[in-house]
Amino acid sequence: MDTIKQIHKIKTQLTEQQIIFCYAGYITEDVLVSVGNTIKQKLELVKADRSAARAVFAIFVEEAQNIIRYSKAFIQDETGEFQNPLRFGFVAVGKSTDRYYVCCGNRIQAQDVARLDGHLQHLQGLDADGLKTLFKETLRDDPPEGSKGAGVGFIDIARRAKGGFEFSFEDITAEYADFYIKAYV
Amino acid sequence: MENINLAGSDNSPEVVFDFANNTFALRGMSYMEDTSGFYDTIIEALNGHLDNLSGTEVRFEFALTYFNSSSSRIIFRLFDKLDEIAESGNPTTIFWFHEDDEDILEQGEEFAEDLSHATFTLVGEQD
Repeated sequence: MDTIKQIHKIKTQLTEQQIIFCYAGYITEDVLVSVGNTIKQKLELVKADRSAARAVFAIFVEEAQNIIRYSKAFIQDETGEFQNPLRFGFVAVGKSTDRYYVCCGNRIQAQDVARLDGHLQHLQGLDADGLKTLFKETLRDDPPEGSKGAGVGFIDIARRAKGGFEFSFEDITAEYADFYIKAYV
Repeated sequence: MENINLAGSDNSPEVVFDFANNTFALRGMSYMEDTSGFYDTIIEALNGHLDNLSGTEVRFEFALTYFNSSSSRIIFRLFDKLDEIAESGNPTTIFWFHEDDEDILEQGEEFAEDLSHATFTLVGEQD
């Protein structure tokens, strides 16, 4: 009973926070596509502004793909040779005052915190033109080493987050930290 | 070269590469996780074909409703390639379908800013 009450409490808090969608668990490409479609449907139903709905969907995709590509909380088979480990992450879509936001969390290596922190602070300091220039420069260059995407995911998020974005790192162990980013459309 | 025809899915576009007629199209959504896995082979085939053209008219249709940031890189480089073949004497037109979606329209215009030789044509909502 206690457990159900606790779960009910979490659920109630989510509702109070106007969170329309929340997922904590392993994220696969199938999950991404299904959840993405569901979020789009939900935003169409509530007649959200079309441009805001598209931005929510796009930011959700970029953030979820970060989890699939990079989350350091994952399981793989015993041999460690399993090519597609299941990666754990957290994604929420909510509304605060008049803006929708997408918030995502995943585990990263502590040694990556400084680099990511610097990159995101740099993006926060750029205006729309600055972000556009950086986006195109980055597309022209080869992807950075260790990047499985195009290295432009956060720039894309920053460009679509018309209400800005915030981020935070929470220490877990000496080796790992949890990284959160919350983008307002 | 054998034509490439791939049906679209929830997160990958319909691909129509008609090498005989030099008309090419990408339509639908593009946000697969493994962008390179999807595009590398077909783009390589396309580039190999385009490099051998001479004085040929080329039409490329982009009718994408959403693409993620790693797909942006693919499209950006395709634009570069199409501009390059236009410069070497192949009249090339890029048709950018946006269905009055402002985001897609702006993204297309941004890519087009770097074109010097290929023709860029915006196509809005169909009647």
